[in-house]
Amino acid sequence: MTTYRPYASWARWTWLPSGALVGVFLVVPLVVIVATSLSSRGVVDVLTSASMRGVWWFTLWQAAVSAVATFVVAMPATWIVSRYAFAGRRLLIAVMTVPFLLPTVVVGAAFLALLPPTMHYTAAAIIMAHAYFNIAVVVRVVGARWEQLDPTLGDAARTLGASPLSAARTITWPLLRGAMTSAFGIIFLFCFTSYGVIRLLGGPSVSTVETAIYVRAVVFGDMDGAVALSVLQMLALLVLLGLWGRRRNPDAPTKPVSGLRRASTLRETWTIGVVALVMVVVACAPMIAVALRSVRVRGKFSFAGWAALRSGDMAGAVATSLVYAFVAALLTVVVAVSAATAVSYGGKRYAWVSVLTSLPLTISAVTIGLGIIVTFDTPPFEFRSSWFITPVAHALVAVPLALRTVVPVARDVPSSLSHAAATLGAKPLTSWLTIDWPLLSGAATSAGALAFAVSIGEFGATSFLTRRASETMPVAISRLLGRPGDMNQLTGYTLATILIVVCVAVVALIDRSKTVRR
Amino acid sequence: MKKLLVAAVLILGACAGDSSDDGPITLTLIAHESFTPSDGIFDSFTAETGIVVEIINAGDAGEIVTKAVLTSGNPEGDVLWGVDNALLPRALDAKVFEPYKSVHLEAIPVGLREGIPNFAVTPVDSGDVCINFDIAWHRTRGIDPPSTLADLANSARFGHLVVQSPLTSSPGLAFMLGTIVVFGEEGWLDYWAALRANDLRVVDGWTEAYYNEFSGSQGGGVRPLVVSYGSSPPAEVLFADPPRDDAPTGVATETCFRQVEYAGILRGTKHPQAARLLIDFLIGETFQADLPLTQFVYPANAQVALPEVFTTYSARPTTPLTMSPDRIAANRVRWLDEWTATVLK
Repeated sequence: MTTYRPYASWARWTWLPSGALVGVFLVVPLVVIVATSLSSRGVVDVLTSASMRGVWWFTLWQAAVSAVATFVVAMPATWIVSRYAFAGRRLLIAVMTVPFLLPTVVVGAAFLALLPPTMHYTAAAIIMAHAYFNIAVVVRVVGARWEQLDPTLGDAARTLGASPLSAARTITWPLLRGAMTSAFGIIFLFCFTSYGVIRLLGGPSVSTVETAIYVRAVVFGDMDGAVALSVLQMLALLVLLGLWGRRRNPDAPTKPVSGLRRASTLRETWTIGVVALVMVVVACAPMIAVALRSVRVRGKFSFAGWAALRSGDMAGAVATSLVYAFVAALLTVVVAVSAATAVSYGGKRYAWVSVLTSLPLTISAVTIGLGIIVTFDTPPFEFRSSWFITPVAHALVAVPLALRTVVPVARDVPSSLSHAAATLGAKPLTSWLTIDWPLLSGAATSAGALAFAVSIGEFGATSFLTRRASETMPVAISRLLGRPGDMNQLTGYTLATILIVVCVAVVALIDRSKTVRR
Repeated sequence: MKKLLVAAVLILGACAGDSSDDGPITLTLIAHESFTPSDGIFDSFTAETGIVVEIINAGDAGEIVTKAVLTSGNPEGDVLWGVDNALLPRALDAKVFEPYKSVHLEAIPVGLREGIPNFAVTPVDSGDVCINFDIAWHRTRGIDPPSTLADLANSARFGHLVVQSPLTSSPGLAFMLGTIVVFGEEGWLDYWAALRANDLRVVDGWTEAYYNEFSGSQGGGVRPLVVSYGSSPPAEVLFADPPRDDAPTGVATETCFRQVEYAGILRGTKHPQAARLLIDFLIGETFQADLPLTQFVYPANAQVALPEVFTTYSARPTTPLTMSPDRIAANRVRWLDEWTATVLK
């Protein structure tokens, strides 16, 4: 279908901001690091490295175990929110979504705060943090499918004499398997490239490939080795994505209407109540632990951490993060809205724009950071120490997500309106500003808020790009909580508390703008 | 909140462009976290030259060198303090420094000036990374404190030792190099495997090791042996509360690895002339005399007299372990990798 728009010729250039951002700051660095790595002894070094074999193995198994653990924690709650209608259901889903939007550094900090010191720096702590972080993936991916399953299928099986267990095994499981495989794959990939959580909870001895890239580059000072690891990890990710993409199950019969029903027996009511309560506690306890640790150290209350916000260093970190987040959000909105315009008005010719803007999803943030510092190191392209490079990297990470918020809305803008405007003599820009923009602005706000949240919590790329004078909150948290001393702990948890508040506010804002749009 | 706004405005201002140079020159001195000179030590320098010095404690020694390498030619400050002999090759490879031959260089013994090509950096202090032991702990249990590296692997010392990771800590790296000097390429990993079997504890940094894990410090940990400095005991005496006139900790002098710290002008500084004056000041007598009791290191300037508490309680081995910068440069990454595989996995 070709959509004719009166300002199609003007829209011809709307791909430019996204093309420039992704092209200059992602594609070029990737080409550069692949070229340098292939021309060096880095790959051989890394492949023969004595310490790396253990790192690869740990990266793989912790990702698998973390994904299984996430299912164990999330399935009961997924079951109740996708099968039953009850008061507070939407709130429960929102509460379970918050952990996923928390910065990884904050999740790491939360489990440092929650767990006894003997469990710090263990694989168990990392797996718990990963399971906590990814609850929302199971709830959203599996829940969406489960909710659509026709409940009468199970009822029919029961009527025909199947036990609840065999009904679940023969009816529900085959129908959910596809969604569960997808969720498992997503969680596995997230945990495979986990970085912030490992940097905080891993201590000196536990590392994944992602943290090993950082250690190679920043601690060893071995850029060739770091680049080689990055390339190998990218290949590993491509293989995993390929395997996972192949295993898509065909769509099973679903009912367009929701299969939610009210609890009919007292036992069901109690089960729902207990599961919901446990989930709320699981989701909130780590956040509350962080807030408590910001005012409590060694059994004594102290507001020194919050008072430290008035000092230059901490105020500086907060201000830097806010400024970066505003710049990144603005940049992301411009890029996402223009790319969405290109994709929705340009038709098939601009399909490549959505492929290009999805690219950052498949590249780890650590690799983005490494690529930038390796590439932009010679004048006149010596950007790696310019202030704007950090918000640009944040925008790169945020654009794919933001675009998914804006494109569906842009596609829905009825073309008849702009035709009418053109017929009445409106110039293309006037027409866009008076018709398209008011319809897009809600989605643009959501995209901006999302980018704000991504930027303020971004750690992987930032840890390469940050400079002491312009340290961001996640970098400061990782530094402070990695050091002993009461004051470091108090201040670190104070910053983490601020980030939690910001993220909850962003979730609320996005939720509200969605409601307004409807 | 107001300060937040001010900070935001300052950042935006800094982003908008370089501030004009009408006012007095402000030099940024980037240093590691252990750089803690007396307050007001730069006042006389400012009075004399009109140059203001701002200190940024930008992480541990490894971190500041990494940052300097990554920002080589477009630095975050003007002068760097605290790159040591183990990390120097990395900084030199990346051409981090702008050479300068200080007017006071003759006051520094030739031994400290070895291995510096073309005056790239200036030696500012030296110290020895050695095993420190808790004297009272060993006395009450009737155990002799260790005197050599080999002693540490003795099973009678199971669970006694805490060290810093050479990945993240400059004394940790110096200690690791010392074990390579003593046991050689063929034996050092076996030695570390033996230490590990002896319930070795590895932490990220010196502060955590010394104050949280070591039993002999004010902090009060449980392990009686730690990697620290030959000049750590005078600090225990000086800051003892209540005051005491004997050191609670001792030094195993046969385990010491000589560490030299350097300062250098960062290539790309906007104030090269002022930076040269600062280097002169840093190895001048005023500043050097401040070092022993604020940072517990030996001044590089040989004309500076050492305070009594320092000479009485610190251990200065006559023949410390050393390694040439070339050998460090050629093998550092591989050694760190092998160490990680042996000790951390």
